[in-house]
Amino acid sequence: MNFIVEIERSKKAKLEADDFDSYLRKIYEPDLTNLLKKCYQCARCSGVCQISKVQKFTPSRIIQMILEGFEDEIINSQVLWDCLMCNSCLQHCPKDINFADIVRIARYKMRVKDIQNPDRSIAHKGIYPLMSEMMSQDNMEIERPLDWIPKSCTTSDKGNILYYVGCLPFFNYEFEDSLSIAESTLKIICQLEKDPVVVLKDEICCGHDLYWGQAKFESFIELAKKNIKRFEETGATTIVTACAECYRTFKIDYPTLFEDFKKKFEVKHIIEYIFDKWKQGKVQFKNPNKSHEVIPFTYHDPCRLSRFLPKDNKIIEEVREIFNNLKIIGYNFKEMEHNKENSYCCGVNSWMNCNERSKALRYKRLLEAKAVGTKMITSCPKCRMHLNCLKKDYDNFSSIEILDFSEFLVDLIKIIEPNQTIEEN
Amino acid sequence: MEKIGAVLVIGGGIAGIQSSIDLADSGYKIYLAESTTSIGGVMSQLDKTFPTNDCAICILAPKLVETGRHENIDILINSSIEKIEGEPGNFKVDLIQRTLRLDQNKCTGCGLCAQQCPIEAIDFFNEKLSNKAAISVKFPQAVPLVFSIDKDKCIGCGICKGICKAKAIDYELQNKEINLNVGAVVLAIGFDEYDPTPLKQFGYGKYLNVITSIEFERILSASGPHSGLIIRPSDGIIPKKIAFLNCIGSRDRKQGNNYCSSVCCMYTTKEAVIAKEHMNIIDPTIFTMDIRAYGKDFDKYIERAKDEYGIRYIRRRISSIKEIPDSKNLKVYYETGKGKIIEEIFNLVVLSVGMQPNQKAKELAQKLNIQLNEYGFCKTDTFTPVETSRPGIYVCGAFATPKDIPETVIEASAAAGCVNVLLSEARNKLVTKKELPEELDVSDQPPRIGVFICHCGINIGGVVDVPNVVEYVKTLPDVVYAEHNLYTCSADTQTNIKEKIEKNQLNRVIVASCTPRTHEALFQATIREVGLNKYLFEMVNIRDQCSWVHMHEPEKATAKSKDLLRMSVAKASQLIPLQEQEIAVIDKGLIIGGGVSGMSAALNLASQGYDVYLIEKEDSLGGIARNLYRTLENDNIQEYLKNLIKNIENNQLIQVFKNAQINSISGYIGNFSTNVSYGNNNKSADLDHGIIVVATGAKEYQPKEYNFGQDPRIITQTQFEKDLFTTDKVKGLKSIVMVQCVGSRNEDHPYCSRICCSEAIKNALKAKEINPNIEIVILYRDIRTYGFKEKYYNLARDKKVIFVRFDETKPPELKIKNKQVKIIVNNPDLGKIEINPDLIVLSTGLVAPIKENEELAKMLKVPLNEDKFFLEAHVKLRPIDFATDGIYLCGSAHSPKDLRESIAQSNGAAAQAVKILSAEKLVTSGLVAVVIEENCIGCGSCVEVCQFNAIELIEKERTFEDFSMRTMKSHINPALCKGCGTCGAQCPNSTIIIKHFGFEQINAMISALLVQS
Repeated sequence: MNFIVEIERSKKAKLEADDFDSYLRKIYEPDLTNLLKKCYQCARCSGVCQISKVQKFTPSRIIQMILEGFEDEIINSQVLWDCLMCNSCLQHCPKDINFADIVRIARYKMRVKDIQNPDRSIAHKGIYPLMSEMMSQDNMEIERPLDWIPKSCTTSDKGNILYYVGCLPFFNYEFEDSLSIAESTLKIICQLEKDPVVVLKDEICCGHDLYWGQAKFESFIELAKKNIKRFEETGATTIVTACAECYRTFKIDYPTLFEDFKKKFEVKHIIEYIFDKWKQGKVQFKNPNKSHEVIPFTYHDPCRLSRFLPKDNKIIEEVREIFNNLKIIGYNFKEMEHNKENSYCCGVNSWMNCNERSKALRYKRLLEAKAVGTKMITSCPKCRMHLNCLKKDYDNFSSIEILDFSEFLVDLIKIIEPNQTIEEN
Repeated sequence: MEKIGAVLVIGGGIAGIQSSIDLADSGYKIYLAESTTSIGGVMSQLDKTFPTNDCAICILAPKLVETGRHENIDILINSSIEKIEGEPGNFKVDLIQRTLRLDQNKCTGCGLCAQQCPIEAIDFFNEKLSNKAAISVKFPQAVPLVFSIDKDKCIGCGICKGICKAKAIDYELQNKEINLNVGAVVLAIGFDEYDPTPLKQFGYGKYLNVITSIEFERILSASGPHSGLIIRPSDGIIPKKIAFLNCIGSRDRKQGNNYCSSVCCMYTTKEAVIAKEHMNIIDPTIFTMDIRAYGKDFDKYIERAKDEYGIRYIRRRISSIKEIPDSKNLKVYYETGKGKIIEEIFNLVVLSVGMQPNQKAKELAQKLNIQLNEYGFCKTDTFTPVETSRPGIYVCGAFATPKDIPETVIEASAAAGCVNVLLSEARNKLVTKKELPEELDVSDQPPRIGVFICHCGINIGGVVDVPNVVEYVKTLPDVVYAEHNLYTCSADTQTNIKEKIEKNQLNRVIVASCTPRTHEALFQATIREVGLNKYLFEMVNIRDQCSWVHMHEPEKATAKSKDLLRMSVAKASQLIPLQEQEIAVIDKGLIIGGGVSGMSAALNLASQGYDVYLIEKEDSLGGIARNLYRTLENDNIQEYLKNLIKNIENNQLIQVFKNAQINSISGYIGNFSTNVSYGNNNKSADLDHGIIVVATGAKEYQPKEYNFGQDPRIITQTQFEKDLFTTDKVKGLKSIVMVQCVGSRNEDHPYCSRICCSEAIKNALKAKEINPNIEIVILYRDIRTYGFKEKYYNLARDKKVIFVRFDETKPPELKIKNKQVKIIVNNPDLGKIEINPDLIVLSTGLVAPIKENEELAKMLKVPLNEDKFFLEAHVKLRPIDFATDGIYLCGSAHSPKDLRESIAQSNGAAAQAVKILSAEKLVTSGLVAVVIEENCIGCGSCVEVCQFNAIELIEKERTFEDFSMRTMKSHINPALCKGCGTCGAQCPNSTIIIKHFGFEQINAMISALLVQS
């Protein structure tokens, strides 16, 4: 008997009283075969699977076994905790089988089994998913420090535009400089907005990691409900985030649960936000340094902003359009060998399975980065953190600076129509 | 005559305990004779210890337990020496063990008798400040935990006898004579506190609110008479203003003792600090002459006391105290800095009493035929600090000189070191090794758990419904047998447990009784005797955690016992046998530093037959002592040094490397490997050895102050000493000024160098001897002639050496005008004084060689303190060891110290080293941390947190399908791992498993707890 399962049972019981099943049905399909029937068994997925390059893991075999009626064996073997959920397989699947989503569902099934517990393989002692879970509790009073907010920024708890910060203030304790992403992003937004930007003192987790990594759907649903309530209270219509995971969650997964989410809120990644302002002519790019040295840089696409968005998403191209434009100010954008939808994974998904194999994936990624540039930009705080972690271990990567998109751009942005109420830094 | 491999240690204070453990660990049989009913001594009465404010009993209790359960130590409580005869190596000793009126072997310490005893007796442990039963234990953590009857108070009512389930009480038991045959004797009888009753002017015994420092120590203690609440005796009110009067009975030729008691300045400060910590409204004032904070990091403690706690120091001794009749407050008079006499009223006065010889010292000295010194302490010599006048009998601790705990521990080890030299041929002759059956392989058997639940008389059984718990336990999964015992720890129960294991084919055993701290090893040994791996054992503490804390709620206590047992059963079913590894030991020592300390340690080891490599960076041995001629006590240092060097160079087992430099050190306890380059031709050698002693010393501070080096009339004490002892320059001088604390106790070197006051006084006395008309002025901040050195301070004053105090903030100024040197000193009481001396002698302190120490510390992976001296494992109780096993520390590398102290510490270091060198092999614990390598990402956070240096990162090649990379992996050395679990808690990937405290085991326990509740 597993005590964690016990606690979850009681949680589920509570949710059941609260039409839990109607929500669960939207994000959970009990019969995996239903989702897999269209599989050709061409095994392309196994060929592109990123984790399979460093350990034994073959999506096609797993699918085949499930289809042949060995679902229980797969569930019991716990092999699906190993999937990176990077969605590389989906890019190459001729039948559009969403393997990551199947893993997510299977993980829920695995978790409900008494003996299976992924908690010990959650990196950093599971503290971050635990914090997310705690935030999903009813009686939790959240109060986040807001002392990181730059002096030049005016924020409020009501307003039209909300900056959703995400986990960055929590990361900052263990992973230095995480907050500089938040500072940079907020600085950019505040310079462009006339009215104060909403930053919530009681902001809670979006639930991404519980949804994908630990398959704690009960807590995820709770978090979604609480978040939507909070967003509504602010009066905001636009939510901007600098996090690839929060973005995907608000863009795709919340609307799956609550159809009207899309109508109520426009969700923008900071890339889109800047791109739009640039196109509207409100932003230009300018190099504050007078140096004529040309800096080669590259971009690491996070899976949540490439393979985890609908095919028609424009972020991949928008970010490149911005980057290519930087050539005139001395920044020369170069692609890594694997880019866009084929981008290599940072090696960890939702805190699961950090080990020497995921380290090997990061190592490969930095080899590619080193070949083309001295700066590596990404737009997912976790990718930045994971790649920086590896960089520290190897002297030969010390020449590469790994930055978030906002950190990179904050000093290169020139506002054409400056907001008069905000002082220049 | 044949040498006997047994040692009698007299006195069970911290000194006796340390000597006993050191010798017992080195293969000798130890008899530890203690005059009271428990070991622990004065340290067990202390509340906290300076300068770390560690709780005294918390750090002492583990040592008590270790002594109590050491298989080579027999503790003889309540005993005293009657007679000794024989010669070094073979003594016959008669002791008398006074009756406890109960059978020590039967008493389990359950304490029921004391609860029922109708008679109150005085609690001497609490300094008579409270009462206890006439049948009692000395203090709760007493070792051995046996009760005894106060024969003066006992009325023989028989209640205790009737109630004792163990049938231990026997009023008729008589004193017992014990005859021992031992090879050596160590005296550690400690000291007595000075009794201030004769000093009528302080009114001790007459005024209720005048108490002694040891009484105040008990009042401060959480286990003291008022549970740590500071209240004064007259009315139980919190004393807001407390005055501490230093030097009560010390530094007083007329009334009391001539010497300095060495510890009072520090313990007074500690008591003031702790009082302030307990209750912030308390405002302590310390009246003192000099503040003698001469030990390692002591000055920093005083500064903190002043700055952080606002403790007020007034440099005056109080001549008398008057009680105000109504309020019982106390009025003291003293002179202010401006010469005005003022009175101040205090609510409580604490007399900081000094140390005086143990009242039994004289009688013991006669029986043992050893000499005492002029003060009644044991007579010793500078170069043989732990030897008494009778060969084969050694001394340590406060019986030799008043001293604090770390120095006592150092001397205790030193005494062990000297016994080692005397008795090394008899090592391991009297200790027996148990023959054990081969271990049964139970790894593929399903768990068959046996549970033994203890009533502990009625200590547990009186509260917890033990039979009910037994019935409950029988229903738990995997439990195949359960029973209850009156005393699970008794000898007959051990036999019973073994029978039940065999009969029921048990493969996991649980005992639910008292604390594993004292009893786990016993039960583990029991199950091992029938072939079970000793780690297939779990212990549940239903005494402390159930019957004691819930003594008035028997139902809850029973329910909790069931919960704890259910958890324990869940864990036991997850236990696996753990293997202990055996590590071979290279029985050679490496000693770094060829000064007096290093040479003493080398000689000690070599005289026991161990090979020693002695590393000296310079081209000759002797270190800083080469510049010294005489000690303060007038011992001839040069002659001693000459002999010592001769002994080293003539010893076949000692290989000296001069002009040597250490390039690298690798390995671990028992198996180090060191590369040195040495000699003029820079030859290189790889040395394999089992231990390392760091004896790198300190160097003299080269002053930047006072135009040093630019004027021949301004020299250091070392230069002056050379002139004094090798020339007659001093005959031509009229006046000398000595300036103390040059380069010490300032911002750059915020510590006291300890030796400079004595050096200055030594040289002043010598100068006066050569030229009696010379005028000598010593400018000082505090004169720190601690212990018996005080005699020479007095002598210097008698010889008309002038002492002028200056304040830290206004150091003496030097002026050179018309080629005349002039020194201006600002005395806090008198103002500016101008002196025109012929010679200025600067008393410069000792400083650590920063660069060398940092390099060596890095190679050894051991820490340095803020002042770049080496930092020991624990400043109070482990002053010779590093946290890393197998590396030891002695001499001024630890902190500045004089020759006597350095020699003691080096013998102590040798004693620690011999514990390893004399072992055929080291056995690692099975309870260690292990890394699951494939999940390790080599982040190194485990390396950072391991205080035992057990973890290192090793580079490994990893090959994957299409590429390979080099990556770091954590590696834990089981020989160094203590299984503390810090690394496991730190590892971000949970890839370090602490054996027996792994995820499965802890999870099983928590699950078991939650499932039912």
